[in-house]
Amino acid sequence: MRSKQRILFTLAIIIFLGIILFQTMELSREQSRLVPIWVSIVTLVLGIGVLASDVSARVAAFFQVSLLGPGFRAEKGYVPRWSERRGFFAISVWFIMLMILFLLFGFYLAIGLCIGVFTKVYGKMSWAKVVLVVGMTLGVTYGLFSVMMGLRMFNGILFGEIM
Amino acid sequence: MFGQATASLGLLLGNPEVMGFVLLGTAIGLVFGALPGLSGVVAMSLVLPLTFGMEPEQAMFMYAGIMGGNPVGGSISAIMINAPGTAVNAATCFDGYPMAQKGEAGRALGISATASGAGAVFGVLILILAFPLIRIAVTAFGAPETFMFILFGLGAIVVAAQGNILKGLFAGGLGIILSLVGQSVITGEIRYNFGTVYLWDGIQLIPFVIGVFALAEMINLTVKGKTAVAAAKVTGQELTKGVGQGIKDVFHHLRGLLRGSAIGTLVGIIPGVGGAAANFVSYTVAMQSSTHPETFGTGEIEGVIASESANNAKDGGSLIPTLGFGIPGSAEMAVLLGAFILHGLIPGPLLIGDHPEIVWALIWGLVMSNVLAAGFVLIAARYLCKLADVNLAYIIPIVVSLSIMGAYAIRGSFFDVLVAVAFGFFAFFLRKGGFPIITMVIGFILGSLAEKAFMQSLMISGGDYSIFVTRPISLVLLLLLIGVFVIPLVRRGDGGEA
Repeated sequence: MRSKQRILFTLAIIIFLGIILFQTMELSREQSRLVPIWVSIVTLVLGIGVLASDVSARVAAFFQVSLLGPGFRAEKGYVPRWSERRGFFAISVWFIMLMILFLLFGFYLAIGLCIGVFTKVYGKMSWAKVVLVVGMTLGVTYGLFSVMMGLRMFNGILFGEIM
Repeated sequence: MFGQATASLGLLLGNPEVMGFVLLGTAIGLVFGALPGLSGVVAMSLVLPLTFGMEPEQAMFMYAGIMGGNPVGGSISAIMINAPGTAVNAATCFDGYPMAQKGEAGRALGISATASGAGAVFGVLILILAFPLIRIAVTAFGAPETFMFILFGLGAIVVAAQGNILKGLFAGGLGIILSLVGQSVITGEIRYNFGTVYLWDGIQLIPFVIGVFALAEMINLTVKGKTAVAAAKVTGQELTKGVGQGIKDVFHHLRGLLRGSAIGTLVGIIPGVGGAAANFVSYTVAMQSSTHPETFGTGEIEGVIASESANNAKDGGSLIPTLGFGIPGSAEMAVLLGAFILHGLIPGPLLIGDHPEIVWALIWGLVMSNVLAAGFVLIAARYLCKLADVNLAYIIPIVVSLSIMGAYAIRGSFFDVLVAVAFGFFAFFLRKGGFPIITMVIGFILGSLAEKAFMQSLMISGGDYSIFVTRPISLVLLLLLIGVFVIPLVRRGDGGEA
């Protein structure tokens, strides 16, 4: 992640923690509130520290510690390459498509279609291999979950499934 | 306790179905170990929902199979293609691969398989010897001690997780907060459900673990792109030649074997440190104490022994805090704790006394899987190393399908699938931001346990917080917790880089 992205990501979590703290204050019983208040306040303070270390390399270096000593260091600052960003965008779209198809058409159809797209577009496989991978995946999941575990699959709301 | 040992061994040896679970677990562990990018924790996350309908003991045999097979599988790709299948085999590359390049792949595999098996047995022996001590410690543990031990465990994990201490603690806090979603364990009041009925029961463990470990890893692999590994040119003859010599080598270097096993076990005991550190620490110590350190990295037998004995011995060590106190020693142990919860077992001090069959299933399963894996490696290494060359486009869809199905399987809920996917992306971002995932997972698993122990302590003391410092064990744990954070800073002050 670039420094700006890291800061935005940490900020988003801090905002979430703020919401949690606010909701904690509204809990009616003291025993329900006590631990969440402690944890959310401490985590919020730590979040601010994380933000400071994202902004300042000096602060980050100060908190870079390890029980194991030299040689065991943190991940270095990560800068994504363009191809990685494209890969991330592609996998995000793929997951959204999978969820929508899962909801509409059920598990097997969604998995079949999405794996077909993945292997063809990402894997650049021949159609024969695409069919093979789709068939193999469906076979493995059907064998494990439907046959061995006897699970009833989600059939999709278009096929009468109720959420 | 020890009467149960023979009963569990009898069950393993006398029941083909149970042996089949160990065998299956070992095979899964070997395959996931040999495939760079996939790891034991991904395998265990995927298997988690599949074991739901099994007897707990059978499930433990299977998990032990995965834990035992995984590092052995990882050593194959480390030696043959210089790409460790798992982080726990990284140091094996340093000398294992040069040996393969010199035409001694069979010898290196013989060393690796034997050292792995011997290391695992050593770790398990220490675990068995630790039982009486654990039982004494457990009887002295009340709610305040349990709470302090959880804090100490989290602290040690944060510091050992390599990186920014603030990020580790922050991720741990986040995990605890996520564990508090849903009904309060004390009052039953609903917390942070954001108006949805789904969150009344809290965030479910299996979708969470599947998302954080398996899906996040698949997203990461997709983003990083396909693997391109260069295999050492190894002939079939080279693979079979020298295996016997490799086995003999291990016994000619007994000191190195014992040292590596002891280091692996000790590192395993420290919560959260895991095998990735064990093999490096062991390798470094072996090199520093050698009379010919310059030969390390060029195909030195002692280097392979040090790394492989440590990474398998660490499992026995990791099981000590996991079984004794419910504090996971590594990511695999965190998933194992999840498996305990799934099977209605409460991780923590009472587990060893109440369910010795679970403990012994893990012990015998680990020993048996290491023996099986070692044998399997020696027979089928040439085929297993080809796994590392498999195009990710084949693997990712299968793992994603199994993950999604696994998340759905337990309760038949579409929302569980959404939770798994959401946590997959969240964990991916956390990793990229330098946050250690393991602390979040352990915070999540231990969060409600910590809350319960904290509230019980205050009930005992009538709301007086001094209960955490007036009881000796609790105070010692608090001092250790402080020490965990202070020691690295002091070492840095001494001039060493922490």
